[in-house]
Amino acid sequence: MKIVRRILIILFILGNAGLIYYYQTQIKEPPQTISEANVTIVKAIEQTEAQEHPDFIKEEYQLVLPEGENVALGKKITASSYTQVYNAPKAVDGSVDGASYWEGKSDYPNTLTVDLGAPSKIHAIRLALNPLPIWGKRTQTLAVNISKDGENYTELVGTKQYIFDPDYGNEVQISFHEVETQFVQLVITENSGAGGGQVAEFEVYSK
Amino acid sequence: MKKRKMILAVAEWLLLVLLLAGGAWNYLRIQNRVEQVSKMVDMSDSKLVLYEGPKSLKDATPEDLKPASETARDFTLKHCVDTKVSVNGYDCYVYDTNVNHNRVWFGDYLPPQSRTPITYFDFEGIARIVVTVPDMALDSVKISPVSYGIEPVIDQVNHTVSFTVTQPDNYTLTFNASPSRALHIFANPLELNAPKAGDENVVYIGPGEWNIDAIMLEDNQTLYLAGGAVVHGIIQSNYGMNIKVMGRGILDGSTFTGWQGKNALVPLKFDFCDKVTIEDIIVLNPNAWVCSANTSSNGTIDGLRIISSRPNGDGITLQSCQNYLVQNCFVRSWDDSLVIKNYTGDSKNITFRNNQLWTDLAQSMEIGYETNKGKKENARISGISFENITVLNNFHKPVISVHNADDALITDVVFQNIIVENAQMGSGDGDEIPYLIDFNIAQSSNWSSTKERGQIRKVTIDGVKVLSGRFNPSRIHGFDASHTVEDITIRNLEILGERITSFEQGKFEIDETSTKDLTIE
Repeated sequence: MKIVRRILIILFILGNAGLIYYYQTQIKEPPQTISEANVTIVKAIEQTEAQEHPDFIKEEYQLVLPEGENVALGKKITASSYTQVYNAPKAVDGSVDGASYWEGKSDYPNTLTVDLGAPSKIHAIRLALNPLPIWGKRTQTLAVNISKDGENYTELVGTKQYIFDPDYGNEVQISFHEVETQFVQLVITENSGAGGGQVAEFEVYSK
Repeated sequence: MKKRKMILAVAEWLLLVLLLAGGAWNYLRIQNRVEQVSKMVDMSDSKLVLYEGPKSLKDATPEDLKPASETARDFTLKHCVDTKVSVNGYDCYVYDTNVNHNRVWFGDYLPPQSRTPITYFDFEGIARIVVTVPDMALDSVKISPVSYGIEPVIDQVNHTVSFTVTQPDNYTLTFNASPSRALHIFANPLELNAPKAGDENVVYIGPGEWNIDAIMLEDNQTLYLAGGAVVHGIIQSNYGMNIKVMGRGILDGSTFTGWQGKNALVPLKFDFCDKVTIEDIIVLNPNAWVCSANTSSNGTIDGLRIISSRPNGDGITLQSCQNYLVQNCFVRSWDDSLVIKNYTGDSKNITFRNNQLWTDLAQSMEIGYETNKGKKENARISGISFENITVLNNFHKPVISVHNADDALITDVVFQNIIVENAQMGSGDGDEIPYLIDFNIAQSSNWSSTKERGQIRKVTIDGVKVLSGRFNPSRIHGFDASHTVEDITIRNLEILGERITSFEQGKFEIDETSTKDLTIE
């Protein structure tokens, strides 16, 4: 009995020592502040005023108009359809600003036909949209037909997709061998930037 | 000898008992300490990302803080210096942006503008936030959403407010029960898988203050606006597909003059698009309305933060859109906060959920008024739900509104679990329609496009709780016996602690001739 008691005393002393050791060394308070390693500070760049972002600075586009005179300016123009206030005459009013453009409904093919008033020898067409960036890059697929009487049309330029990009003046120029005609017709079958064809200025050049 | 043995035995027994008691005491002490330690804040896994603001932004002077129209003072985004915010001991950059405390329309488009501080950071774990407002006597501070039950510690001597958040979310501090100089804290989660400069199809804008008038996105592009960036510009696309706008940065319109009914430069405009995602960015000082889509489908707007202050500054407005999800957003706007309209085709299957709204002017959740601007046959707005929406303040017109000013059918609409922390409908010229809930079929000289009137059918309101403010009436009113509001169910409506179980108790104004099958439970 005596030996058991003493063994128990030793075991209890060891047990208590173990508990005291555990209390003092094994129960750790969690960190009350954030570790510096877990803090990221995203630094500002050195600047004293707002800057143009280098990735968005565009080279100034140098517009070179086709040779000759725009004989479509202010002439009679008709369209197969138009949306809201964007009617056909806005495509020959000499302005690409604001609401001054024609837009067809999404009832392709859209046609936009200008009557030059008299037979004219033409060699180029320029189609322009507003060059502000908000107009966004887009494609339009179109063909060009011509007619002497406004009823019987022949194909001058076959259907092709053109890119309108504000970085490049938002314009498309189509040149061809000089031809005499009174009516010039665009046949638009696609526009990636709107529901129907869009033309802010439909210019036809004669030398 | 025998006696000595006995004494020794007794001593050994006593020692044993003492050791046993000591063991028990030590065990209990360990248990208590473990429990005590387990309750202590553990910052070991906490992470924090802070973003320095652009060095080019000027400090907001007392002159900048005076209410004045955009033409009468500097309107540009500023660095706030009268409100300091620290998180886990680190200073946050605080911006001073424009807000509008007027509750009346200004025909000249030039209402006086005030300013309010905002800040943002990313974190995981615990964020101990200390806000210092040296120039303000602190009587009370409310932290919204109040559903978190955050009780701040206010030190009136040192002008500080301290509190802890563990959940990334948008928090607003309202000082002394006034909307003036309320602090908006956008506490983001850590950003995972952010794109890098040079990634394919990524337009990357890093920290700094940048003038980029218009960013037109094309198919499959991602625009990443990094934390610390302030871009003065707009981001738009027409007929785009698979486009994403994301990041922690700020899209700011404070360098543009207000639209004044002429030239709206809409910060986020995605018309005729498919699969557009907008995530997390902050939009401040738009010159008109803020986030708009027309005839777009399959879009997601997640975590967007908006503060608008100029006329027609509608927050998120979806026109003729289908299959849209708008969630986890914060919208403080000086016109309708969340809006559905029909401009061309039908609006269908649109969900707003887990959004916080602060509506300085007009309605918080508005369907209408234009429901068939395109004058299409059989126009419909259907499958619209607003779920888990917290309205921090609604100062002007109805919180919940279905306004049919055209000939469309509006049907299958649900408003569920709407909490209104401060209902102040009817302030200023909002007294024209000071309702909490407003269902109305009307002909409007401002908004109607069709000659014929429409219908409102099957609208469910399940859970609206007004916590403080005014107990204002609600209205259910069709146009005539042929153009009616029908099949309306209202459940779990509680106003200022009063459970509403009848239309009379809820102060509903009901037109008997133009309504049918109205139920309140």
